[in-house]
Amino acid sequence: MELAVSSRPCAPPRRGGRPLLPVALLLPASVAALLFICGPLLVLAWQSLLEHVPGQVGAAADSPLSYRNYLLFTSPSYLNFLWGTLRISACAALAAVLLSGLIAYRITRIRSGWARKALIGLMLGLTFLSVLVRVYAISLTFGVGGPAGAFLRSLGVALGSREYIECVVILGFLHFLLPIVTLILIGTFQGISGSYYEAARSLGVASWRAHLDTTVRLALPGLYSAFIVAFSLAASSFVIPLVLGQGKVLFLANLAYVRFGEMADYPGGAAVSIVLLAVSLAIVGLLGKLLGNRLGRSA
Amino acid sequence: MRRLLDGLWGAFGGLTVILSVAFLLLPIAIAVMMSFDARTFLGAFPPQAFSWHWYQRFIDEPLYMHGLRNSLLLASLSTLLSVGLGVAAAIGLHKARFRGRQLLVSIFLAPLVVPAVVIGFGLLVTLSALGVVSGMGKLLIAHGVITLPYVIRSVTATLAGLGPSLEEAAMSLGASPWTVIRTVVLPLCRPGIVVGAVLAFTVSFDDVSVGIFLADPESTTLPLALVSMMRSNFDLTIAAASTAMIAVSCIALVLVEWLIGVDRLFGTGTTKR
Amino acid sequence: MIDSSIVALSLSGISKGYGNIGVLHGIDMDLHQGEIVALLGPSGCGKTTTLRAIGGFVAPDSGRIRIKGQDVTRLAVPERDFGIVFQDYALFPHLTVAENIRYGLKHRRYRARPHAERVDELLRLVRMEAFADRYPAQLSGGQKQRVALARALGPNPAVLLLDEPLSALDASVRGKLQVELRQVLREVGITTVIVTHDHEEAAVVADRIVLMHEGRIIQDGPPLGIYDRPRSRFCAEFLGEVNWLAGRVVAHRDDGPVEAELGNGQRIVLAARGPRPALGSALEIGIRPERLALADDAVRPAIRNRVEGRVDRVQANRTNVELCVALDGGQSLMVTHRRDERVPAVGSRVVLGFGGDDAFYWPAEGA
Repeated sequence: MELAVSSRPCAPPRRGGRPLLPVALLLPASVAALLFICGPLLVLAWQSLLEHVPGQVGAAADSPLSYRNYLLFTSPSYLNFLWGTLRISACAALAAVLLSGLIAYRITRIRSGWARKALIGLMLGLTFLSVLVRVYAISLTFGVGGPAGAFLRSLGVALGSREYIECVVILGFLHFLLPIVTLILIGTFQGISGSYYEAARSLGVASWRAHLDTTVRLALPGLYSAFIVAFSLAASSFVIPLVLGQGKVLFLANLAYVRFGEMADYPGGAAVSIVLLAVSLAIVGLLGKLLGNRLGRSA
Repeated sequence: MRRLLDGLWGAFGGLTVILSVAFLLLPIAIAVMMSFDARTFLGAFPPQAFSWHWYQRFIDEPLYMHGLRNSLLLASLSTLLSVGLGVAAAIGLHKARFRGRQLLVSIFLAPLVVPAVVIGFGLLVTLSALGVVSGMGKLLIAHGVITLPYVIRSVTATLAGLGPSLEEAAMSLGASPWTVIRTVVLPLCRPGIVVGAVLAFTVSFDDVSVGIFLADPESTTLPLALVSMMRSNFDLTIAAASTAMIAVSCIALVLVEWLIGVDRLFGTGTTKR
Repeated sequence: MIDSSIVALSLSGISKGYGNIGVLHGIDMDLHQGEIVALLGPSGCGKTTTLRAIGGFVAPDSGRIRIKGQDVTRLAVPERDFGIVFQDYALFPHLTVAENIRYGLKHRRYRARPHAERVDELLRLVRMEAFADRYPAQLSGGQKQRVALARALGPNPAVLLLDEPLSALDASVRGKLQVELRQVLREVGITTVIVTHDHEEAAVVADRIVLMHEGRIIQDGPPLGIYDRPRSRFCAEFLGEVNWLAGRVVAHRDDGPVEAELGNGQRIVLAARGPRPALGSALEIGIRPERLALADDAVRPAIRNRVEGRVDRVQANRTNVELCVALDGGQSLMVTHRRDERVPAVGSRVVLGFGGDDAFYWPAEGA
């Protein structure tokens, strides 16, 4: 993870021993980070290797370390949950990137300065919106009493069906992802000059084709990395599947909570959490680096 | 014929954009409208008569009020905490050059990448082991953890835009390293600190996935109360609460715009002056 | 006024390297009180590193730095008695002009005068009195430079360091500001080190130029002095245009001068500069274009040397005329002179003259 840093070192290495100040500044946050960021991850990993006795809270005392909790994931139901998490997140991320791409592209090509600022401000404001408000608004609108729900029901859609619930969950993700991904992609499209598209058009290429060959091709690395971000955010989501899933759609995060909250199975929950962490890092790390490099070079 | 296709394509693109923006805004508008519904039950949209009674119910509900008080307190305290630690850490990182620096930065920013559930669950086990009992205390630490990266990232971006010669100039005018920080670095970091603080407050106020592991009935927050209501008693009091939260978001945005301008959020920039 | 009895700044044996790369190799320099010295050289020669070492921003690997006799080599930046103007001026954006200047007075504990008075005095010195309450963002480049100078001078430091202070300005403003800068520095009488890559700037502003190349001082002297008497090819070419001729020593004249024969057989006489090169040795001879005159109608008694050639090219701009003359034997010479009525036509034959004193020379390498 990179932070923007100025290129010239500002304080020279001194023989007089004045590195105390930066160290003193860093110390409180570093101690807190070690205790409360690193610590929990290690503790969780350790916890996941313990045994849980049904009926008791937490891990059994003096239990030997074992991989048993991870075997949960060999069961078909858990594999289903894992697959469901990945499938729905990927769909939502893909839809988000496509739609946001269109919106972001339009925004960067608007000529009027205040209109552009207003739209960017709108997107920004929407990122500040609480996820609960979104989730509630969507479940209200697409639920039984809401306008969209009533309309769809009149078309014959079963509002209680699993397919519909999954769609509502994806809509929930969209509402959450669209503003963020749009802002990211605005950055991407700002960096792509409109001259390429115009050059293609002047050569007689159809509009859609010109876009595909120039704008989209150039934006591909940015689109891909936005997809990775969206995918990762969706896969590790908790609230959206919790409320909109109505118990039928469960993501890995919800599973961890179920084991913790309803079954008091801390080791099991810890194992699910570690798997969730691994999935999240895998998306950002592997997928991101591997294919991102390929795309970066070809584009 | 090609012209027609091009036109259609353009129209399709425009339509999609409009529909998407509508999708973003309409459900919220519906929720806000329903919050003024005069009916005492959750009826079909649209409301025919309007009243404030859902808001009255919201204020009268002790669970919500208690949660609101806790949320505001918690958000304020954890913002103070993460701004204090984060600004110091960002300045320290800016000045220090040592081998483990990048690793330390990754650790500070880790909560942005690590799923909230993992943080919440992990902290639960860790804090119990450390003997932290108070619900508010646990939440405060947890929210400090998840808000810290926003502060650090924001302040670091501002610092990077300053350039080293300002600090060198201050030193050449006789200022000790601490004085340089106090009189030059901090004032110029103000935009970054403000943005970080606003983000921290918002993140803390909105948090559900971390808090759900750590809160007890005494220290429950507004979002947590809302979530449990959404799953059990899905009525329009939640709509009233949502509208209130939208107002809070708007205030946050206006604050940011007024203090430093929306465009500043898009990159480094020195002070407005 | 330069006070030669006081050594205000002294560097001895300053060396600095980064890893395997040596940046400074044993820099020795002494500045007298009130002297303005320019560190001049191409990029990467080490002049900025030297300046930053004086200020304490860079710690040398070896050597000593003394300011007014006090050994500051181990002292931190705020503890050294100096002021500095950076290339980007580094004015504090959140403070007004007056507050910027006051910053130094406060933190350097300036006691000689009430700060408000001192600020006014400095603003008057750089002619920025009307701008006291403006913010740096509202100033032009030249104005910022003046404020930065006033701020650095505020606490009355022993030494002033200037890091390419005019390079960020437009060429049109630069010339005027060079002269102004020198006037201010002279008026204040402060010992100054200015780093620049522009030899004309160095000549205007400084009393003495220290020419640096690849981490070493290769020549040191007054601007005109090193211009007229460079000690190496690099020095000569860095400071201006040079025509190079190859010759061989054929005689030592009794009254001192050295007689040399050029490649095309023409003979010239060169004034003696220290021990005369051995008879028969090869010489590298340099002549500045403006030192060559059209000798046909010039009535200069000092002209000892005449060479003949054909005018190949004539280029006139507003102030000068540049001629490119091909000598018999193939060598080309650039000649620069003021715009007279008479400008020779391309293709015409001319005689060029120069005095024995007008050329510099040294033994050619690889002779």
